[in-house]
Formats: sequence, C-alpha cells, structure tokens
Amino acid sequence: MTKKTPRLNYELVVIGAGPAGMSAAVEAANHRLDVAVFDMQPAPGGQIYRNLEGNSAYQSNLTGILGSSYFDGAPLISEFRSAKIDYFPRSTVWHLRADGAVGVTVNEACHLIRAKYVLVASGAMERPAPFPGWTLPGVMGAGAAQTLIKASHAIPSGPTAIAGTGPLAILVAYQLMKMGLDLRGLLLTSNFSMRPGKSVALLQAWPEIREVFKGLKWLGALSRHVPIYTGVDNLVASGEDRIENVTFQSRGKNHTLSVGTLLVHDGIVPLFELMADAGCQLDWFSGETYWMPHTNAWGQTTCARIFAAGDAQGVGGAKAARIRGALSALEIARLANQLSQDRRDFQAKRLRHQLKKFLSLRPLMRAQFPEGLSATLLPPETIVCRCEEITSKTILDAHRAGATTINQMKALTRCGMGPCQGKMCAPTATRVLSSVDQIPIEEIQSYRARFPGRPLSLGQLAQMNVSPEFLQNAKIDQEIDKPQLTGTAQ
Amino acid sequence: MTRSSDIIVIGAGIHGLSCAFHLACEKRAVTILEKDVVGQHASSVNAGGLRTLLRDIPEIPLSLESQKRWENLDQILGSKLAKPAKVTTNVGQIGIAVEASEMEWCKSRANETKRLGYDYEEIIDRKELDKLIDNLSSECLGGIIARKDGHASPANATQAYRSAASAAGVRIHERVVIDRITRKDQQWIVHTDDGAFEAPVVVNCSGAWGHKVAESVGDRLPIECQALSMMVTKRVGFNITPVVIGIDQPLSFKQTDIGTLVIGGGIPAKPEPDLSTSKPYAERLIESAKTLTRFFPSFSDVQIVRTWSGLEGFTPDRMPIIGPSTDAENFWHVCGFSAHGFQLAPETGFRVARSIVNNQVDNLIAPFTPSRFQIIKKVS
Repeated sequence: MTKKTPRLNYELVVIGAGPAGMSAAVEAANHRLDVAVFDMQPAPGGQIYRNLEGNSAYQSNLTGILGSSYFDGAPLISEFRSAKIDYFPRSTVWHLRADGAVGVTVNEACHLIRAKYVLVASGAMERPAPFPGWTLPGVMGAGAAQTLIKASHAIPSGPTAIAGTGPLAILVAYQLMKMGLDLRGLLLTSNFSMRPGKSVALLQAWPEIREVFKGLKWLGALSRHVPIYTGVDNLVASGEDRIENVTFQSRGKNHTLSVGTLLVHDGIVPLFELMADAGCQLDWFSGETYWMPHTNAWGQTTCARIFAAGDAQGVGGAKAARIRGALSALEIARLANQLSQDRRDFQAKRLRHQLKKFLSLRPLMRAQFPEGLSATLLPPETIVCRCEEITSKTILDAHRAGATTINQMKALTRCGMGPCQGKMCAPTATRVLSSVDQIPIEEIQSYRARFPGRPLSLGQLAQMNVSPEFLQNAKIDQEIDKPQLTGTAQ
Repeated sequence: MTRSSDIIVIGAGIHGLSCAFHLACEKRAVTILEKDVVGQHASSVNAGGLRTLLRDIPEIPLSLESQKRWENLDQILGSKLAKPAKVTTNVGQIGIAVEASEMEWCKSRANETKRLGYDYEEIIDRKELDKLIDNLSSECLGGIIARKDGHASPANATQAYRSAASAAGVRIHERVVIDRITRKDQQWIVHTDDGAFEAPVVVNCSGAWGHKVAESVGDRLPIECQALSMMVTKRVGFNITPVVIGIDQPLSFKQTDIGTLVIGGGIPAKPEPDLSTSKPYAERLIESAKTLTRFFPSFSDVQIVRTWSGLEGFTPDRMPIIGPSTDAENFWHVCGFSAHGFQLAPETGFRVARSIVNNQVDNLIAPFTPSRFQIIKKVS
C-alpha cells in the first residue's frame, strides 16, 4: 500500500467515515468541493456498518444475525469509495481549532493541516455506567461485543449476562443468542410499563413503527430461550481476578447469576471532545442527559467553520445521521459558492422530510429506555475514573472542600486526568457532583478539552508537519504576544 | 444590602487566599470576591515550581523567605490541610546549559549572587549532572543548581490556603462579578452583580485581570494578560527527581510523584481573558517537544496525554507589583507576577498582611511598589 500523506490545505475535512461522514463527503464531492476524510477504522462504515465490505463475503452466514439494516449501508459505502475524496483510513484526529486547524496522525506521522470547513462526524460512544465491580476483567460494553462480532466474528465464551437498557442491549442479546452463546439472563433496567407519556411517544413514532416491531420481535425470540429480568437495580459484579457472579434486584427480588462475561449498555452519548477542544458551545440536553454541540438546522456549530452531523450532533441513529451529513454538506457547498441558496433549499426539503420521519422514534426511545444503570446514586467506594482510580467518595470529598465545577474537582483529585482525557468518567463525575446540592449542570460545566484528544508522542509532535501559513501566523502572533521569558517559567 | 468587612480581597487565587489568610490571622474581617471559582486560573494550572534558582535579584530575599514557609507549610496551615499540597523541597532545580555561552552565563550569574552574599546557587559540571539525572543527552554541558528547590501540587496548595482562610473566618464569594468601585466616607464600595460590599481597605489580587481592577479606581498598571502552555505525558518509568529548566532554551520540566512528565517553558498560548480561558497552540508546542527531546532523546516515544494553558499578568520588568496604590487611598495591588508568582505566595501574603496591619510597607516587598512604573504612566 502506498503511504499517502494529507495535503496541508483542504476545503472540507470530514472527521469520521460512518453514515454521516460518508454521506457528507459524497454530497460535498458531488458539489466539486475538495474533501478529505479521516477515519480511525481500516474501512469505511463507522460503528454501525463496521467491516461491512469484509462481511459481505460472508453474507449468507451473517445476514440473519447482523440483520438487513446492517447491509443497508452497502450502497453508501460503494458511493463513498467511488467519489473523488481524499480518504485516510486508520488515521486519528487529535486536535480541532476554530480557525480550521486540524491535527491528524496518518501512518504514524502527525500533521497540522488547515481546512476551510470541518464536519465532525465522530459518532457516539456507549455511556459509561459505573457500578460496583465494573472494572473487573470480563465486564465490557455490549457495543464492544458487537464490534467483535462485526470485525472478527468473535463472541464471548462461557456463560454471559447482558445488563442495561436500550435497543442495542436487546439487539446484541438477540444476535449473541443466535450465534449460540450461553446467555444466562437479559437484565433490563427499563420496566416497560405503559404510562400516558409513553403512549404519546408511541403515537409520535408511528412513521417508524416497523422499527418498534423489530424490537418486539427480538424480545419475543429472546424470551423463549433466555430469562429476562425487568426493572433491574443494584447491579454488582464480583469475583477474584475477573467477574464470577453478577447480583441484582429485579422488582424487589434478589438474584445471583454465575457468569464469565457481563455485557453492559446504558445508551450512547455523543463524542463531542474535538468540538469542545475547538471552543464550540455545548448544551446540556437534559432529555437524554448528555452534552451536545449547539448547532443550527445545518449542523453548524457556534464556530462558523465547524459543523457536526450524525450522532456527534446529538444521538439520532444511522438513518438520521446519513441525512444530517448530507444537509451539512449542502450548506457547506453553499458557503463555498458551489451551490445557490435556492438549490440548497430545494435539495434540503426532501431530506428534511426524511429526517423528520427517522427522528420520530426518538421520543419513544427516550421514554422507553431512560438511562438505568447510571440513574441511581453510586456507592461511595465505586470507581468513577478508571484511568486514575478515583472513587465517588473522593469526588464528593472534593466537593465538600468547595469544588463546584468539574474542572476544579479534576484539579484537586486527578479524576479525568488520565489517558482517556475524561471521556470515561465525565458523565458519572457530572452526576456525582450534581447529586449533592442539586448544582445545575451548566454550573458544573464539562471537562475542558485540550489536544491531543488521541495518543500523540513527544517525538511525533517534535517532527510534526505544519502548513506554512500556520507557522507564518504563529511567528506574527509570537512577536506580538510572546512574553519575554528567559527560560525561567515556574 | 451592603455587606461590610475590614478588608476586601479581589481574586481567589493563591495570592488572594494567602493575603486573606494572614489578614484573618491578624483578626481582621476579610471578604474575598472572585469572578470565577477559587483557583481557576494561574494558581491551579501552573507547574507548581518552588524555585529560588535564577530569581531576579530584587526578588531573591522574598523568594528565600517564601521557600522557608513552603517547608513549614504544615505548621502554618495545619498538617491535615498542607499534606495534599505535596510540598517537595531539597530535590533541586537545575538550569542546564547546552551551549558554551549558556555555561558562561551560569558562571557569571553564580558569581554575581555570591558577591551579593547569597550562597544558594551552585555551578555543577556534567559529571555532577549525571549523578542527579539519568538519560541526559551528550549535549548537556553542566549548569546551575539551587539544591533546596522543589515543587508542589498547585491546585491542592491553593486549596490548602482556601481551607485555611475559610477556617480563619474569611468569607469567600465565588462567581461575583465586579461592576464598579466607588469611594465614600473612607470606605471603598465594591458594586457587584450580587450587591455591594464595603471595606476601608481593598487588596487587588486579580492576576491576569489586575490592570482591569486597578483601572476601576483610576490606576493604570502596565499589566499585559498572556497565557503560557504546558504538556503532561503518561506515567513513565524514568526516575527524575530535580526540576530541569533551560537557560536560553524554552524548557521547564519535572517528573511528578506519580510518574508523569510535566513540561512547560514559557511557550505562549492564546489568551482569551474575556472568556476566562486560554488555549495552547499546537504549532508552538513543536518547539517544546523538540527542546525536551533534545535534552532527553529517550523521551521521544513518551505519549502526551494533554496540554493546557493558563492566564497570567505580565509586567514590563517581569517583576510583580506589590504595594499600595500611589493615588487610591488604602487600595493595594498584589498582581502581575509574570508567571513566577506561585512560589512567592506564602511570604507575599504574610508581608502584605503585616504591612496593612502596621500601616507601613514591609522592606521585603518594597522593591515591587507600583510607583516604579510612574514614568511609564506619565509617558502613556
């Protein structure tokens, strides 16, 4: 394989090659924009269509397991492959700046390039859900298990339980059951009672009612083979060196299951760190209890050059992601003078109609699958930040000493200072801090995000390739604002 | 409703907290007004260096006294509060020379301080360097060391002063934004978005915003708000105890007790004081990474975990402004520490408190009087 190097300037840089990123890149390329796409995976598809090209060879074996909606991604991937796009698989983006600077690592070398516009389509991650024992080997995300199925057809071995909520938990249980895994239980925190609010949400979901039936079909099939517990609470994983037992309460009764693997899922949250790094305004979305970028109808953030699409913009699923990517691309094409406002609006009209349909399911999802594992208060000794092994108690102690923002707490405790940059503890730490005096989440703030958002070594930084105009600007700025220090700062 | 106290301190960084703590120890009723939250800026995000090495000559007496206070922090604040501050002294700070001219400069510096009667700086050769630090590149020639120097955890040290100040009765109001400051019947009235506060004496400890606060009482302090960048790496197995700084190279570096490498060196970041934040520039940190790997080639594969920066007030002579305003009566300025104020905080707070109580400026802080910029003021 030839070692391709990114150019130092692009009109549009797309981060992520999932449904949003691919569709945006294709749309932008169709409007003659000069596009680069950076993605961490070896092949296009994102989390949802991961390794789809590779799995197409096995289609006969896997169709029934991965489902037809997985293979729905194939036409988009082939469009993406044939469009005129500078595509960099296995690359990482570790920095984003409001002026269009994008820090990327391609083939181990790092570059600071400049984009006129940036579309962040970095998707979402599983909501971290700490509970006693969650750091034991053998406890993993249900999404991570699905990644294994898609990437290498591997499944956990031995007795397994799945705990949590959301369609992905149920889907993964269904897929693993069909692959022959020894499933000891599906532990759902939801309780599926029918309250008036849910009925309204169910009506709103009418345009996508087929998806609801799909979920009911999975549950129906599961219920014939796997014990399903609902209203699950007080989940604890225990064991010597790895998980051996999972105990929990379901509708007031205590249960213990002997398992070698526990898969957990508590919904997904947008990956917004690059946008936070750039300084885009984040909004607290209390409906789904996560931070998301503030965007307009085209996905434009408060940093004019930076757009967000797909789940990174706010969780909406693959079909919505694809539309949102295209909408952002239309607006970027207009800004780049490749599309008139009338044409943009004409093309967007049809897309918005579809988007409305695809998003109609969200209120039902929110009502039916509220976060469960991470809804209750943590026992004090539970680890919140696994990088630095910081417990809930340590966070509360810092709060008692006066820390009211998450960044103050971080400085005092090291919570969030590890290699994951706080991605894994931010939702929990926020919850713990807000639980005491009901501090508004806006006051707690989100962790300050600063590059590198992904691993970068000192040697790589020392050798970095930089767009000449950046260095020029840096020199100019430096003359103005370099404090005259003689190498004796603190 | 107006709330009155004996003294209002503006700014809850380590200097504001130290001044307030020592004033409270003198039985004064003190109120701190902070526009953000305690220790949000330079106080918590600096590298925590406890450095007497290469101090500007007028700063040396204050710095040496402050070092003693750091060493006795548990007696001053109580051991329970002082412990998390992780004060580590007697590991040394070393200025390393990689060019012959830098080595020459070190020697002349050491001679000068010796001539002035100080004996805390010492010239060391490459052999002595190797005894103190492993993994140095062959380029390093030797340097200058202050053996008693060390470092502390800046956020936790600031927190220690906060807890001590609170325990001594200081009232701290966070997220209070000052609108204007007026004078009436020998009282300063500080009007904020949370009502008015009044006191006969005000101390301006507002760091990067020092000149803004000064302006509200008609003082023009030559402070420029800047930001400096830092980097930290993953935990690594090297074992480096002294703090290393460059002579002409942009480097300031140490390994923390948990094994991470903390790298600074005066690399400018983008200051955004109106947003209460700042951001490092990736293209400028290339220089920092190059310098560090020049000193320690074996660090090349070490992964950077994050970068950050903090806002600070810089003065034209890079020395702090400490003393009463020449025009505004009973209005003190304690700001403009130009990125080396952390170490000075314990002694500065003590001397400022004593000066206010005795109504006489203490000798140790006298060189930093705001009036030294009088000429600049007239010209501008």
